Amino acid sequence: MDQQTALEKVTAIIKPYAKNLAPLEEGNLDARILEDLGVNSARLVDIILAFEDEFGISIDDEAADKVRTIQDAVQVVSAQA
Amino acid sequence: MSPTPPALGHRDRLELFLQRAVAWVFTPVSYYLAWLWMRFIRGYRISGLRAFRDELRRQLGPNRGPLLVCPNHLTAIDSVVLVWALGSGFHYFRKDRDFVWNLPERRNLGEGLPLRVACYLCKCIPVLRQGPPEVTARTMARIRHLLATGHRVMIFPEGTRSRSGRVDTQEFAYGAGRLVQEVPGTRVLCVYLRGLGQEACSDLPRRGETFHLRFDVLEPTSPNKGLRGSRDISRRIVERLASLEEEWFATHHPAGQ
Repeated sequence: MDQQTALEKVTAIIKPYAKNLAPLEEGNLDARILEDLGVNSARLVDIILAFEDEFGISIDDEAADKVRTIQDAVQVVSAQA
Repeated sequence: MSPTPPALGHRDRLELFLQRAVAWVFTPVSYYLAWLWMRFIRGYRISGLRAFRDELRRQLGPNRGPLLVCPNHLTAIDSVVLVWALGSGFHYFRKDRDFVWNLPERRNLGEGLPLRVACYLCKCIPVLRQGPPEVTARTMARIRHLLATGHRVMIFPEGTRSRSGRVDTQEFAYGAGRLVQEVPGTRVLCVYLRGLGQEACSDLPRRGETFHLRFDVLEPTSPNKGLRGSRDISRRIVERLASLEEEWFATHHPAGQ
């Protein structure tokens, strides 16, 4: 899957959980999911699970722990999808 | 399936051993200082304490397997009150594995030396939520090691104090479920602790508060692995806490339900 498609899907999945949408709308790949988007830390797990469902992949705990930014998320799903 | 979690390194084992030994030596001091403060400065009581401890001992049985203590969270000193509830200083001196290890958020401890020393002596392992992956992995390895070697570990499954004053069955963390999954045979002690005058979350319970406890021992499992399994198990724990809360209110505040 190309990065642009992955980014669009990742953004769509994160959006409902984000309190601050500005970095998503700006397409800021370095935006931190928790700090910059205001996502609750527990909800980050829901986001990872949504990635698994959307992309038909399996993300282990270790890989999930490394997802900090939108770019990290795109890389994790692109690597497996 | 998730890969096998990494084992604990020698240095971490040594640090845990040292903390355990120092905490054990100071147990009579740390426990009874906290107890004196709670009992006589703050005037706290735990209703039915002896019966609670007896029933807990009966339900846990002689099994020394992994035990994760999962309480509700309403005040900043819930863990201290629960240490009091779960055993006497004498009991902890004889069986130090029963003195629960606590997992406070590192940022909440501040930089003050006295608080850090107190936390060390009271078997706290500071946790850096959403910290660097290598720090998280090391902390998780320590906690798994403690559970696997028969120590009791306390984690608040909601992840934070209940802002509404009630167990939050929607916005909870998944750390408890992850530990249950990663340490085979872990049982979960769900404890609901609340003072009669506790209406919402606060830093301290009111002076003269009387706490009432309810508990249940679970062996939660999930057909799912990894994060999905962690979520399932955490949800089951939080839902059991919520049902204990309902029982608590039905008994102590029938009109407040």
